[in-house]
Amino acid sequence: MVVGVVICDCGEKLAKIIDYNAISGAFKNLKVPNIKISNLCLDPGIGNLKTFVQKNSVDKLVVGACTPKLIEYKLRQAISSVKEFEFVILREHIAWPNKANPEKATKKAIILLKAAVAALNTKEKIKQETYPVEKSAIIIGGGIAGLQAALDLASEVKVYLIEKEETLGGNLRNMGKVFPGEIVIQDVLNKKIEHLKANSNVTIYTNTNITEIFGKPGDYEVTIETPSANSTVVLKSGAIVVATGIEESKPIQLDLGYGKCQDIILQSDLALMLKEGRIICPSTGKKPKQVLMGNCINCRDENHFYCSNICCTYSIHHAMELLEQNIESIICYMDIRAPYKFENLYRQAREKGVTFIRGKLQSIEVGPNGELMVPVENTLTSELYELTPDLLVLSSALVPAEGSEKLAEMLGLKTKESCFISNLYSKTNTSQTTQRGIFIAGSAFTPMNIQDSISHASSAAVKTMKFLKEGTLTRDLLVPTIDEDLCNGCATCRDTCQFNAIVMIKKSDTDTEIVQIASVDPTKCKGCGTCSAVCPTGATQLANYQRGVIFTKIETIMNTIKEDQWADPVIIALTCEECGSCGIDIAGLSGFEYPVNVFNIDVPCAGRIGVIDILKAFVDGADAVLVVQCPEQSCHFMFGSHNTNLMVQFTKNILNEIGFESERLANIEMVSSDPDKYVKSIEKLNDIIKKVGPNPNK
Amino acid sequence: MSITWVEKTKRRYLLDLILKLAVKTPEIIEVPEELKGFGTIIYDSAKCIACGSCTRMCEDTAIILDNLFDLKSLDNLPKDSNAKNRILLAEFIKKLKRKEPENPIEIPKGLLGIGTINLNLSKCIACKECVRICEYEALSFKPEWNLKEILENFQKN
Repeated sequence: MVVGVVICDCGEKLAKIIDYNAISGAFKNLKVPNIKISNLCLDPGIGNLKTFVQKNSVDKLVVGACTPKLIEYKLRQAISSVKEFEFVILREHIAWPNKANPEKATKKAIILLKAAVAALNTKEKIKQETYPVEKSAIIIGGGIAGLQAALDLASEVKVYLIEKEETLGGNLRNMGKVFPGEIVIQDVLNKKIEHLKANSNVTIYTNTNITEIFGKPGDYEVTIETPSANSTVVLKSGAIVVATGIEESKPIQLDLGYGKCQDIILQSDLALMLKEGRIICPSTGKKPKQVLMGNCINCRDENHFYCSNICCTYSIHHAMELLEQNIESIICYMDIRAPYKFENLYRQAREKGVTFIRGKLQSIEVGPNGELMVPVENTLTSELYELTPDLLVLSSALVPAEGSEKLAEMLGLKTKESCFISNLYSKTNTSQTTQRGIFIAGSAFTPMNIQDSISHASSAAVKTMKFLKEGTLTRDLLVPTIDEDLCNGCATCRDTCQFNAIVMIKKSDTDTEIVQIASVDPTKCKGCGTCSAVCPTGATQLANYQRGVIFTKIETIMNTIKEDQWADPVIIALTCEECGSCGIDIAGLSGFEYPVNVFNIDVPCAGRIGVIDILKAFVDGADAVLVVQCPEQSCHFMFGSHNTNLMVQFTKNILNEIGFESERLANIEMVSSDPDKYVKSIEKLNDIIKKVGPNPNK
Repeated sequence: MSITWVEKTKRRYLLDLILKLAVKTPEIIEVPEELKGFGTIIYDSAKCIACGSCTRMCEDTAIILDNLFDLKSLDNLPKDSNAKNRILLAEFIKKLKRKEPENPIEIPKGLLGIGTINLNLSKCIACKECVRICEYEALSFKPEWNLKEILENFQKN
């Protein structure tokens, strides 16, 4: 096993700051093969590196260049014989922030490169495993999103479409014209259903319930039950698309008379009336003269904290349709939220004579003859009205369709505070759920209008196709390994894992006892390492980020610093590879200059950092430790950042109790766009070290 | 061996009866050998790694994980323990500490894998399932019944 070092001076630009000869000299003394290349990102540079790798038969490589976000992909493509890389970001992390301090910058570069070499020496070779993927998809829910996803997928793979109702179409079955105007949705639906039925790749199961879901990404077994056939069928598929949609909540618990008076209905009831062209007051059967609509019912309050997104627009649309039939309508609203082009619809409605009152309905009285009396306060003018509409239509909160909670549990998916199914990462991957191989389409994710549902479903179809198309799933086994002798089956790791990647299995079956141990499913694991941070025994170790690797890095950094007689205090920064490391890249790119005495150690997710990793840095003499992590809400691994906050808090509690200054430990939640947070905290930690003195453990 | 809810209510009934009959504060009483259902579980926090196996095993919820962690218990950690992470933690704290820890420290809510357990003797029916599951010998069984503590506990709840 040969570890090589390649350093790049970015077209000699970095050579003004960093002394590349000193680096080469240092590694020559250590007899580590090394090479300086002027432009590693260009083809001649790559060519030189290839020759270097072949000549020295290097099989692990330390790269000191720009950020791996720019160069890693190209290197991995070009040098396929090397799988294990360590990146030391000479440009963004070392040279640029220390233009005024070239001597120290060179020292820092050597220290971090040595630590990377030492870490690579302890890392094992990454194994790869391939799993078969069944080239078919199950789509749960036959509403507009499910239909669209099925249509998009059916051109390439087998599709099973499962619908619990008798007919396809979901909520849209009961709608006529839909906003913004003249589209008759039944035509659209019928066409889609026709196409689906004509496609031989598609099997449609209506009136069908799911009773059991087994398996793992690429290989699911879903048991369905069709009452008509009175039998169960087991479907095999590689991926699942959840398109369970929404329904209107029934505001029975509110003091709004819903369920007590026939003339108080929901928007979905009105939509059905409009579709059938028969607008009546259910109590009398007569056409109403005046219709009152109450928006934000059961919504944006303690029952459902969120905005349902589409009610404003469809209540305006319904009011316009009523106007065409000479029915006056009044809309009581909290705020009108009609985004995009629907603002035009709102303007038209006002011009054409729909009345808007800013005020939320609080209570409703029903008179002796069934007449409605609705008090409303116009909160813009503070006037009180007593309205007496013939028909009251409530726009009630849109909630996940019935049964979706149970389904989410069966699939092992996480739900948001609003009970809608959550996706993996809110900004960049909206149709991927927390489980690999399971995707989400349309309003099951959040209430959407028809256009958005269709686009979201298409996006889910693309993601599903990408997952299915290879027919296999290849995983670098950068996942935790379980030491069978150490594991005592406590299941702490299983309870921490948000991706259901850990299950407890039988270790041995003696006569009297069943001994269980943890087992990791690489197809589900995303490799954050939070499980290894919480493991009490140390049986769970994330491959390539084992305790030993992190410890080696810390030891090498601290030992080299001692040898080099580095006088400055030392800050060890444990940074996540997502927003943490990227944010530090951006700090360099944006021209921030900050103290040179910080040494970054990357981990895939800050969740990997356990209490012993932090204490190890202090034991070896670090004057301060900084943990850099993504914000809790936007952690790329769901729970990692939250766990880090707990770990840091706990470590501080320990330090306080043993009389070691806990201010030496800090953590920051950072997105890549606020690099100054990192810079400020480095400066702050330096001030703290000045105040409390060097680490007494040095 | 599984314990049904009937026994649980029966235990409460029994303690209630004892309480009604008692004319003086009871002391520790001995439990005859081989009599099932009575006895004391002894907890050694130094050996415990708060894995939570016993809490899951205890159907009577007599054991719960406490959100406090006593650093002093780390001093008596058995050297040959399987709990490598816990041994390292003890070693690092020993090196870093500049004063003796006094009070147990708080564990942030939601952090798993660390803590101590809390035994509620009045709920315990000495099924010894927790003793059996504990790989670290942090729990052991003693054939005696601390009636004084049990009754105090029972009255409190």
